[in-house]
Amino acid sequence: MDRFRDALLLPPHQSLKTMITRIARKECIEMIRDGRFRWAAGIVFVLLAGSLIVGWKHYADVEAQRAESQTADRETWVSQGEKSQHSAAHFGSYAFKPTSPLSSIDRGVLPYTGVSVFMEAHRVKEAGYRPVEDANAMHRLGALTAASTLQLLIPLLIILLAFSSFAGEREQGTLRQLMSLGLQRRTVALGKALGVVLPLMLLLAPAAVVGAVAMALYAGPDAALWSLPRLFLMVVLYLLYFGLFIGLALIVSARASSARVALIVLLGFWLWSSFLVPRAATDVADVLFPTPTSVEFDRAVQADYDQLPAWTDRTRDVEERLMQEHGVDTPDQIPVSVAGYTLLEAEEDETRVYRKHFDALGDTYLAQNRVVQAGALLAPMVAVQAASMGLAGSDYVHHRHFVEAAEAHRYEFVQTLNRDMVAQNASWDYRAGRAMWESIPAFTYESPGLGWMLGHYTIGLGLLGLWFVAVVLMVPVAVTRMKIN
Amino acid sequence: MLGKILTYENRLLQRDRTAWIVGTLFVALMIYAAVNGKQEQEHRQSVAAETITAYQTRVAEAQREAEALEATMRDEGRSLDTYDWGPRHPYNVGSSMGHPVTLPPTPLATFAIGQSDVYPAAYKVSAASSVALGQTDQLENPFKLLVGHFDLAFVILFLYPLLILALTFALTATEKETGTLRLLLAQPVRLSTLVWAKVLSRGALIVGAALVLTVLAFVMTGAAFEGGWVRFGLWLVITLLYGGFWFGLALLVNAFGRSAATNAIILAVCWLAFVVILPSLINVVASTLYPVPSRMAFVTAMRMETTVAEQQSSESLAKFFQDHPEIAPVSDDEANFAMLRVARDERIAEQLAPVMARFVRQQERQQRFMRALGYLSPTLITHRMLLDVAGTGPARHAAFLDQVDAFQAMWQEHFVPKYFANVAFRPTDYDAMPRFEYREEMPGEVLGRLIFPLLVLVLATVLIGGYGLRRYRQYPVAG
Repeated sequence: MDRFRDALLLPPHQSLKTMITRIARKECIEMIRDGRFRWAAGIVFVLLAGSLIVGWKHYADVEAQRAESQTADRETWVSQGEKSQHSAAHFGSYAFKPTSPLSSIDRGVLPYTGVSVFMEAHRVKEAGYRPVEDANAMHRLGALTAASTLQLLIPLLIILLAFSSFAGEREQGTLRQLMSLGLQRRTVALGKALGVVLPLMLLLAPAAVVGAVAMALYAGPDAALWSLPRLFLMVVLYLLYFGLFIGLALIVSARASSARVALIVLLGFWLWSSFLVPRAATDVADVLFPTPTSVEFDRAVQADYDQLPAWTDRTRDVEERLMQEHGVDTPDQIPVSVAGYTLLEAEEDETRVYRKHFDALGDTYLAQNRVVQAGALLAPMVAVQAASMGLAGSDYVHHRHFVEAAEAHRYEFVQTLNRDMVAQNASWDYRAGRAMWESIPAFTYESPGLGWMLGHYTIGLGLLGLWFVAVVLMVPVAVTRMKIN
Repeated sequence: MLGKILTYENRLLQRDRTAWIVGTLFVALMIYAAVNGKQEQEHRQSVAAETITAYQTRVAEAQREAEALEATMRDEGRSLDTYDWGPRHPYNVGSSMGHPVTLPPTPLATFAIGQSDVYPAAYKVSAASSVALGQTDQLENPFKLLVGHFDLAFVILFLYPLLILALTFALTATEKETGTLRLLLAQPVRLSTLVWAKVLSRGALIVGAALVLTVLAFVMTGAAFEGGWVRFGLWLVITLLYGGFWFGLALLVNAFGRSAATNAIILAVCWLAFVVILPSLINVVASTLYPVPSRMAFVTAMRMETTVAEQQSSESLAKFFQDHPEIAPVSDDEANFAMLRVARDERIAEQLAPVMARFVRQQERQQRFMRALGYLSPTLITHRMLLDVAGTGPARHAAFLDQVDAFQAMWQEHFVPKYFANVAFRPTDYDAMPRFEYREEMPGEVLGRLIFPLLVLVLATVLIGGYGLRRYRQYPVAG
């Protein structure tokens, strides 16, 4: 019956468009004239702009310190003086973790992951010096970043803008008038949605443009090239998220018995989505894939390590093998570097043991993070939070990528030194010098590509997409079934 | 009169569907948080206990090995003065094995995980490294650290105020709007009595529920601990006062006589400002105004000093043996690697002292600034106090580290002479080694730290609530 009436009164195409814009315009003007909105939007804008500036400054400071430290470390390495190759392998060097310009928007887990990996012989290490260890306990209540503003405060602003869209008009009795104009209900819904989108765009567009321009101008060509597609996807991600909240607000406003109820339901959802589900989801993840304690982890590594031949046994085995190969009778007569061969073998075995356990630990974290992403089924914020830090390159996945790159570099340089021992037929008291140290390439790190990163967030992004589609489909239904009186 | 009104108010609350829903939700969340916090803490507790047990086992084993070794040496007629790398090598015992120390959790640690998940699980005290303690980092998914824990502290700080606000945003507004307030006040009742009754009945319900659940959670942990009861009492007092603050605030907002909807929005904004925005804003302002130098610069400085010290320490073969003490020959040579190492570390510590001091100074400046700004939000004051009481905050940890430093000095005094005397570490020496015993803070020390923030919270509550009550005198009953 409803549909039939709508069909009869369907206005021509052109006037449909004007109706949508008219409704949107009316909503916009109402909003912009509303002092409460002006205040709220003003505060959010200041927080957003402020957090972007502060975030950029922090990024620039840390990046400068990193570059300086990496250069200083290289200098220390090449000027370490004359010593045996293996002493140099123990002398080691540091890999300092670079951060992406986008981490100025979303710092992700950077405060909770180490900033440097010490690379030396015999040992695989996780990055050390997590910033959180030097921070005040207050940091745990959250730090203001552009990402936290976008994830927590903009949805609140949307709720404030949209909760009374239908419920408020119904209470004032103007919904009857509006509907009496014979408009299709989805037209009204579209107009209302646009009415929220436009003031929001007034707020977000300048921030996004300024961010993109700053990135392009100051980040350097390589970083900009890496960042811009990610920045673009970030914008899309957040627009989806905001669209989702606008749709939800319209649905709730259409169905709620009063504006007050609509507000309470929406605020409840915000609280649920922002604070309860993320915490509960990490708890569930920890139950499904428990993190080993440091004691358990060390014990497991040690157990495997103890399976390897002891140093003296290994040396004897190598000596015997080399004596056979070279047809000599005593170890003193072996014409090649016993130490070099022994070290080559030992490094390979030890590295295998450590990598096995670190890989397993990393896989546990990844599995946990996938469970958390699945929490997006209950709260879309979880998926947005995860994907946003992924795009910013400040998530665990990128951290692990860096640590693995440092580990690959470590293994390569240690074995290069060991091979040099063999090549030089060196014993323990052989002395290598600056030329050798300079021939070891400096550690460089290349951030992983976009496709690789997205692969880690398919669950979350998929669920976010589902939420979006469901909401888009639900809005017209809710508005069509809405009570007018 | 107050009693009578209280009875009516309680009856009204019992009929209120919102009160039931919100109340049930709160109880459920409190229980979840208590159980969850307990599990997390047991996990951590086991790490601390296992570390110590593993160390004790290793020491006992080493002692037995040393005894066996000496028996063989006696049989073979060798002198007991010489020693190889192993259980009789003083450097092996004093530096390689060292002495792990852990901070035992308080019984309240299950209530607030606080910083206990980022502090190292154990530190290693050893005789030859005065630069920095060795540490065993806890393994935890960084995402979990970022998101935070679902413990009682979270429920108290974040959700408890919301519950209070949900039941107090319309103390008298709805009755005013429907006109029943006029009728009520036509009876021989004062408005202030009415308001008191409303606040008390709701306070008894919410704060009472929070306190009872906390007591249950505490009983669940099975407390038997010196000072545990004081900590627990303080926790209850803080819960009560924090709730009191939000009641005071609600009273003040209600006193202006605006509509229930406006009150709700104002109170929600207050919650947002105090609980979410101010903490994160203060964090950012503090770390921008007083940035702690990055650890990267620190690492580089430490390394440069180490290199210099190493290059100046004697010949490079000895340096190699520093990395491989297990194959170092023991000679009568004065410069054995243990001596070199002690000498080297001494030098590094000396050189690094100013760098360390600068780092610590800047960090302290930031902390002081944050503590001062923290008084802007009752949530921050309460957060600090809850962590302090639970013993999972920075204060108790710093006190622990002071004790560890003192122990380290003792340990060095015990071992370094042995390195330089070049004597074997005998089985009996194992019994004479110093052992670390953590001395728990006295209740007075905890209380002393909390007095000022507690007073601030009380003062804020009294001022805000008192002004609210005053303001209620001009309440537009009919308007």
